[in-house]
Amino acid sequence: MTRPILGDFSSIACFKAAVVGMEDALGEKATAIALISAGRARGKHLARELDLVGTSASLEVVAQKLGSALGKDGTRLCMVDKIVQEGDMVKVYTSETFCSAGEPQGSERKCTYTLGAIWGALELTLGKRLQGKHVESVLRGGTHDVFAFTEF
Amino acid sequence: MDLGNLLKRLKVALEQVSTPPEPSNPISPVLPLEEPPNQSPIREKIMINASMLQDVLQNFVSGTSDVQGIALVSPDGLALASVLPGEMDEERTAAMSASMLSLGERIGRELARGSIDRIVVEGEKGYGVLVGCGIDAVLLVLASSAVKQGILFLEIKRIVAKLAPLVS
Repeated sequence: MTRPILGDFSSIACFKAAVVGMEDALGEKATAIALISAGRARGKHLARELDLVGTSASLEVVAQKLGSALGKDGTRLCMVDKIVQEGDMVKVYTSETFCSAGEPQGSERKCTYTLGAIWGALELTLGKRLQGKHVESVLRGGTHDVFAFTEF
Repeated sequence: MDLGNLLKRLKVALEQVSTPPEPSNPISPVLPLEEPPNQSPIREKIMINASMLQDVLQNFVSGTSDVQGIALVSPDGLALASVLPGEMDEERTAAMSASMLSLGERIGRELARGSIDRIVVEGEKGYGVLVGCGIDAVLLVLASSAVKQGILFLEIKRIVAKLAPLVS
């Protein structure tokens, strides 16, 4: 079903209220597990759509493709600014993430669905099982929401 | 020497020869994506542990009557190892298991039931039993309706005792 008047986008206010409601009903941990899992599934689907599965393209190209799909010209989940390898870790620098939007400075909220989406996409792109963590947050002094991935 | 002791001794021996991970790394254990030359003992230790986990789970399913499947899952819903019937999706099962145990713990707190021993889903075709496996893992065991519950819970207790040192 399409929305000829409202289009494909809506304010994050309602979806964030849904997340808070789920946390009230199910608890933060169970909600986070579900949202990360949902994000991972979405990310894997995206990697297939973007033809990134097992690609030999550079991380810069991967960042560009993911950024295009998830950013201003895509679904507007987040901006993907860069993906870098630091030793045994791959770090993804994102900004304006859906998960952090509308949160006050100092909030303890961590990315879940956004982390999961990047995580799932990277797993299929790199062809490795990954453990992902949200290691830096714009809500707690960082310039980006940074997701760090190591091989699981 | 029983399997539990052998596994513990092997783990200690591997820990003595492996290089400790760098303290700044937020995630442990760590496998390098591009392997530095002095990291192979860590990688080998982690690979051996994963293989050991899989063997322990496989032996449990094969050796325990009426058990149909088993999955060891991280607390945030990632599969560590599993032996599941073919039609079951490992990732979905892992996420569901971790969520259920988390929800069960919340129910225990909110409804003043105390700390949770196990969560049992009883259906017409069998049981799904969820227990914590140390602080680092959750164990899901699937059993047919023919199983004797008391024996099943005892076997689960035994395998948790075997698995917990391997995942800690």
